[in-house]
Amino acid sequence: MTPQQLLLQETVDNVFGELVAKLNSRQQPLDFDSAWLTLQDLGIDNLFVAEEEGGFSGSWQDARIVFYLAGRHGLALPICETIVAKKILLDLQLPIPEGPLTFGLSTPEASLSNDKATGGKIFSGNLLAVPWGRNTNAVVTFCHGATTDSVVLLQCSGAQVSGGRVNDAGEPRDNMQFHDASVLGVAALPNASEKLLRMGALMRASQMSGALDSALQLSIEHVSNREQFGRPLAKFQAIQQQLAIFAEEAAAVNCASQAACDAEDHGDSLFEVAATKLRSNRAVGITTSIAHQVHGAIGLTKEYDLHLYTQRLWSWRSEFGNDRYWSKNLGQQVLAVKDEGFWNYMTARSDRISKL
Amino acid sequence: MKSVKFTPLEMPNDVPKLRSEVRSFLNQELADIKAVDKAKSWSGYNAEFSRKLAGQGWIGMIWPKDLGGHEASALHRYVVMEELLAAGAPVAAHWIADRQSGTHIMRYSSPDVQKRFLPAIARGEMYFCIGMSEPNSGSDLASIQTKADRVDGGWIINGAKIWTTFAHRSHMMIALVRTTPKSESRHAGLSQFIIDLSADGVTVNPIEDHQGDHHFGEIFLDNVFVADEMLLGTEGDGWAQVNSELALERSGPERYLSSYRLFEELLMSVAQDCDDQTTATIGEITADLWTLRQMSMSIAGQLADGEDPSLAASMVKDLGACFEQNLPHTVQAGLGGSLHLARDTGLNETLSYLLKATPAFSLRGGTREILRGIIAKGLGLK
Repeated sequence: MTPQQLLLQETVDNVFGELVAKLNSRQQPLDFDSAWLTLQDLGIDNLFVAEEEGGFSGSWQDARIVFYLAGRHGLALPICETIVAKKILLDLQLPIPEGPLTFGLSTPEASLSNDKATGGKIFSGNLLAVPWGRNTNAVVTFCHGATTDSVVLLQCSGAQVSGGRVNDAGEPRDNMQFHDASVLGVAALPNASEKLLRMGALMRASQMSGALDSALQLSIEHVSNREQFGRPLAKFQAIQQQLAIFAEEAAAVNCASQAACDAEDHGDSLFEVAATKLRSNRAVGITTSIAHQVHGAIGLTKEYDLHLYTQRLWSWRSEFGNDRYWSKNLGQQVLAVKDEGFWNYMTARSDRISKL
Repeated sequence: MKSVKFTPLEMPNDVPKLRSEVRSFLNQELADIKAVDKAKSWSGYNAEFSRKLAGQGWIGMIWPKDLGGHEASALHRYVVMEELLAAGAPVAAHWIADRQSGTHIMRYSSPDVQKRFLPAIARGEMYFCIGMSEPNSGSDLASIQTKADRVDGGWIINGAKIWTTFAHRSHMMIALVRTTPKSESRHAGLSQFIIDLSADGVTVNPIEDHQGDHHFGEIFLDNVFVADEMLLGTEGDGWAQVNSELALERSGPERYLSSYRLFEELLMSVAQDCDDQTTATIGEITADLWTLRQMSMSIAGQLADGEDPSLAASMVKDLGACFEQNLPHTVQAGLGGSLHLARDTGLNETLSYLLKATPAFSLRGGTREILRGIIAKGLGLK
């Protein structure tokens, strides 16, 4: 890591740690708006925004540090979604609204049309399971068109939100219905849906890496302290071998998400992101069952923190592409290049990330 | 808890040129090699090929020029290794000498000994094996009984080694032996020697494996004299030396690519628009393969920077061995239509060979259980 990245890591680690403690406080939990203000004061939501415009001019490698730490702390705020939504808007030179933002996928019948009264564009359609939809100011989505696809920016207050939908970790995942809603911005982009899905998958995989490390850490601490048969669980080979497998899986996800962010910084990265999200998804089943098995019953309690990570891992496996989606997508990518040679293709992709 | 370091590797920018040189050499040299022989990968022994490869400067690449090397960077060597493995080149003859024996000799031997061995290795003419396991010592390596007794000008060695890869087709062996009797510290009193397998008192027998191949063997040492200068490194430091050697042995691209040819055969056998199940299987294999390659490359980068990624290397070897072992089973389970009934295609011959070869992948170079024990220790559990 560069010195700037180390500073970013240290700062964000501290802020996220304090925020999560306050958000999860039993006496007086911090409310969403106050928590968000803390993040906004830090300016971390502007990670990809240029330095001269008050941002960090960050890369995906920098963003991964924030995503990882959000997962590591189990931070229940849409900071990752806001960072990525702003990145999509920046890439397309669309206006960037204030406050928390999000992005989500629309159903196929979504449509854009011209508003006869104002001459502007209006959007009708359904967005499914939008992360933090009810808490955010604006949402980035896409719309298929006859000639090209578009990225569309919408005001969340213009949507009808169907009540209280959450993922398996209790994070808002709202279905939002828009009917002739005026758009805040629109830009043509071929394969717009692919871009949103790819960036979402990269974001979630990086968060998963953080959540895996926390679940591993809790597991190591638990087996080191808990004694049975007169010695710590950590001294039993059966436990050691299981946690070694866990650590390998966590390392694989960590490595993959770093390499995929590196690839995204170098341009086209659908191959790397597909491999990373699929590899990360496949780690979830193995690791969460080990984590809960070595914890015993305590791991299933509300009071103990393991669920902060395992519930998120179970949720995130489905979000922005589950195993079925990415295995087919990646398989098709490989089959498309097999005649020119898959090995040549894979090595050429990593060779483009080179140093002088 | 800090995560284990896996910083992505950025390859030197002249790597594409090197790859194309290696590929054009291999296209020519491997044109007549059957699919099933390519599948043998670094268990495929072909001395003629090794000498030709040496002629290209691709053995001993990172060693000094005055010792027959080519002073290339470790990352360029990594690229050549992965290209050889991906293509299924028969590299077994020189593989161990190039990967670890030569490097070990360079680290621990006198200039005279280095001159005696390294140039011959780099010419692709001298092959090494590694004498570690014994009839009564496998994973519990410190319990070995082969011993060396001091005599005038050297040592007399007695004992036996077994499961030694290509023992019967190697010239020399680097063996771990006991130089002082076992004391309270089990790891003390062990030393490494370079033993000439043509010396008096050495008997080498190949052992036939369950598919009729002879890739390992046994070595009996009966009052074998070894001169003083063939003691490698320091007397009594054998355990530490062996562990540094195992770090080299555990981190290379051969730890996840041993079954790679089967994936290529599968891709060549299916249509671009094949069924969803096969497509998904190809996707899953690719996700594992790509991730392992990123991990392996990251370790190569850390080694090149002089770091010690031994915990990360143990993880990659275990994950890699599981991947190499699962691949034939995954392919077998998913083959459809006429593909799974055929016996004489490259795909089926490769599959058949690998189903029988893969159990060794989590035994050689440290068993799965030993590696996971090392990882658990790294996690602070032992």
